[in-house]
Amino acid sequence: MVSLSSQQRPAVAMASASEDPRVPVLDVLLVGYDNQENLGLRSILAYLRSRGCTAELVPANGGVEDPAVVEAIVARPARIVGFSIIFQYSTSEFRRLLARLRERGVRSHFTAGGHFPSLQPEVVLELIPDLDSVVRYEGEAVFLELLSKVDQPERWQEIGSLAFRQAGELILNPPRPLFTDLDTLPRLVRDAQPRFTSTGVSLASILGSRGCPFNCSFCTIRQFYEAPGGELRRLRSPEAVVDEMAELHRSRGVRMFVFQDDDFPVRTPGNSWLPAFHSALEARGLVGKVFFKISCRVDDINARTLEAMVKHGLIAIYFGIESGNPLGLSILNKQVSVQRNLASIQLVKQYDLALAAGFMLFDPASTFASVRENIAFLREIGGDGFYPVNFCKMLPYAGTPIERRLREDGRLKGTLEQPDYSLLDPELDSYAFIVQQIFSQRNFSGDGLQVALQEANFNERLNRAVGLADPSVNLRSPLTDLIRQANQVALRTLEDLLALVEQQGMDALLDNREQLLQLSQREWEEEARLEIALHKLDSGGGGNRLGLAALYAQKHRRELEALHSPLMP
Amino acid sequence: MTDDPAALKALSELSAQASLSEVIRRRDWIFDPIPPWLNLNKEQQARFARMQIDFKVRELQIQQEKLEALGKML
Repeated sequence: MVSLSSQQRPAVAMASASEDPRVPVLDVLLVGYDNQENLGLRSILAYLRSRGCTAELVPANGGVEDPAVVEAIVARPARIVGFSIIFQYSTSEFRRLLARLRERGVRSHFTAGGHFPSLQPEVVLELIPDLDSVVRYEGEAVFLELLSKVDQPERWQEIGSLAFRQAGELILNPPRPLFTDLDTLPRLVRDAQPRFTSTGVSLASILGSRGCPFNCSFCTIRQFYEAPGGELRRLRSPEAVVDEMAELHRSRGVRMFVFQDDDFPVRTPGNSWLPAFHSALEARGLVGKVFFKISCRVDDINARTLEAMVKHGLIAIYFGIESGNPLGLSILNKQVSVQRNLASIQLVKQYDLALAAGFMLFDPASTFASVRENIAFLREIGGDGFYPVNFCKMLPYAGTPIERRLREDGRLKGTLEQPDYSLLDPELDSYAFIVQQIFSQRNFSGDGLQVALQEANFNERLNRAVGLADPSVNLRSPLTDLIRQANQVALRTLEDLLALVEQQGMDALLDNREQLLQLSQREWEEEARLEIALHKLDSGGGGNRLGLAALYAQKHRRELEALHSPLMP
Repeated sequence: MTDDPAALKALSELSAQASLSEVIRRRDWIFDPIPPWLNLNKEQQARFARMQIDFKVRELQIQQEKLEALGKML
């Protein structure tokens, strides 16, 4: 590990964009999405500051092409500007941002990090020509060393995990080892002001671990942590995690902690982490005062561990279920059975946790039969309205085993930024395309019905836990009923459309578009009706009972703008 | 604005009210690109494009009705 005191740091040589000598030049400026606190960037920030460097964050929550982002970067000259490219499909946005910054005279060293840049640095350097380098894998130590050598390109080859071009040649330096002890890292940098849920509960994102020991074929996490070697999942000590929680609770009143772990350490070697975590929560007197949400695999939990977690404040859980049929689970390499998925969800229902779940209706092995099984599975787990079902098509992210396999099979399609693949049956491809047309708003819009129901479902649990809910008002039953209706409507649409395509074929359906139109119209009318009902439920009493007031205000503004005045009365 | 000939042809045939078709014309996101691996011929592409327009017209009409209903609640 390289440590750099302020005395050792090279003199600032980088001309600033503004050329204003009164504006101090930062060592590092980090840019990226920060909606849920970008823990990667915030850890790099903390690490650099702990070594005496000056480093700041430019959140790009309104999108990286937001003019405010450009202005913020131009106004804060820095020797290095680091861009967090989380989503492969946003590469073009970053290309345009960097080009604009160069046009504005920003001459800083531009580097990028994240899963996609780490796994395919050659592609990212090609797609974003204004990048000078790529920081691969864990970024803290790489940034620090890059800072010490940024003005000496002849020494960049010494920097482990750095990728760059030199004389037209791509240089991929060997990966540097990951930190073996996460407890040695400084605490994350937090904003000056705490964050709040939409019902006003102070919350913070936090990590108990990095990495995941499993090997799902569509996921980049294993590839990201495996290449540098070492443990596939490293754990912070439970005491260090709870120390941080206690500090955030004391200093900022945080009551809700969202664990952003790739796979929360429920199951660990010796299964000792979780009991120690619970003991630490008890020892700090936090039980009943703070609550938390985790993400984990369905086979991580059992009745004993779930009961213990609930007792210590667990109120919400995210499962990567991904598939409800054996073929899908197999090609995704989930290493779980449909029965196990069902059993774990049943447990979550028993403990009445707010459930969110990732689900891929389509995967590379999909057939009409497997899609039908998936729909039946979703009906089984979501038909009662326990949680709002969501579904998508698996995307072949760069560097994953499934991407490699699809390429070998000649099925990888799309572009480098937006990879896709053909399904095995062309008629199913057409079905998937129409599903996307019908459900894009519901499933993928940041203010679509699915997100609104998810948010309401979570807030309803949290409000009860922290005592914000009026105990005389039962919101749970009417909310569950709305979720049930939304699920039933969507699943019926999926089923009816599947039957139409399977029985008639796309050609015949396109000849008679009326059937398709009626089906989609029914879906959208029901969604609109449910949205109005949800709005009513939220705005009763004192209003914002389910935390949807801001979401709906924003949504209505956006929709009104989109429809524009000619259509309005 | 889309430059897909099939979509443009379909747009020209649009029989929706003029103001709505104008809204649609302004939006380049109206057409999700049809995956090329569907291997559609020109005629099929045009029919897909017409379907997308039908969808969007109806979706926008429903959206408008919903906003009117919500407007009364606010």
